[in-house]
Amino acid sequence: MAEPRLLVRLKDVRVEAGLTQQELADRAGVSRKTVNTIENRVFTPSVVVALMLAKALDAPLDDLFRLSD
Amino acid sequence: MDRTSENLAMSRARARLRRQRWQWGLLGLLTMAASALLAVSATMRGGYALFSMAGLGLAFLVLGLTVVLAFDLWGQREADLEAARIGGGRDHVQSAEALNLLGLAAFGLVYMVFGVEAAWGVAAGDEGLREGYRALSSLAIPVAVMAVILGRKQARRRPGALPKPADELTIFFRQDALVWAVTATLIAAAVLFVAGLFQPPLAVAGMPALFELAALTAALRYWWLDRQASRG
Repeated sequence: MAEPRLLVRLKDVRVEAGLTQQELADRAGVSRKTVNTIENRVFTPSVVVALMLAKALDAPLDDLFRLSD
Repeated sequence: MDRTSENLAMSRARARLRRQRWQWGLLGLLTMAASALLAVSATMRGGYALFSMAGLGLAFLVLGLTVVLAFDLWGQREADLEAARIGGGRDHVQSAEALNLLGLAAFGLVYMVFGVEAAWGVAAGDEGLREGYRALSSLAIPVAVMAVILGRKQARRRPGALPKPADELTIFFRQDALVWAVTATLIAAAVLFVAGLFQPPLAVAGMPALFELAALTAALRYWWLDRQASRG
């Protein structure tokens, strides 16, 4: 069975919400660099940071991060 | 942190720096008073032994407290100076820290040269304890750099207070930088080992260079990752 891959849709959801990286970072209480590196898949956040981002975007966690089938 | 809140943080930091001038002045007065008490108590003679001892005790207590307060105030001052300069935004402070670390590691190259020279003298049997101290002191900067890189504690910045705001991403960068440093160290250690087989003093003399290489690699990688993350 193939290893599931993490799909990151943070950028799509953020753009849909009309927010810049900085605005999302301010809302979530993280640095802009954190948002940038997650969007560019350099960094995989912990569940805590993922939930903070989901809360800031008022979106379910599944919308931002998902496992590939 | 947007522009408005950044400006607000800068002006708050400047206001705190202005207030700190008064606090420094008070500490100066306290130090002078304690020093005067110390001088008077030390010169008391005859039947004033009890007063003399009490005076000395009080003076030392006040001086000790002054030192502790001065360190605390110095820490606040450093943090506020930085906030007044770059706004105190977490991104800016993290980038400044990465750059400072790289500068410190680069500065360590100077000490490394002295350290290698001293270690060579000791390993060749020409020099004694004094050169040994010189060789050891060349490790101070690499150790300071690696102490930051090895830091795992997340800490948010409070106004007017250290430490730097380390978050999950910073710690992830540090872990990556540490892997690079360990790799560089292992390669350099292997090279030194081989060199030491043929010229034994080289294995000892190369140690300050090895530590410096580890610190410089870690600092460079940390700065590079921060720079990449700051873009786009």
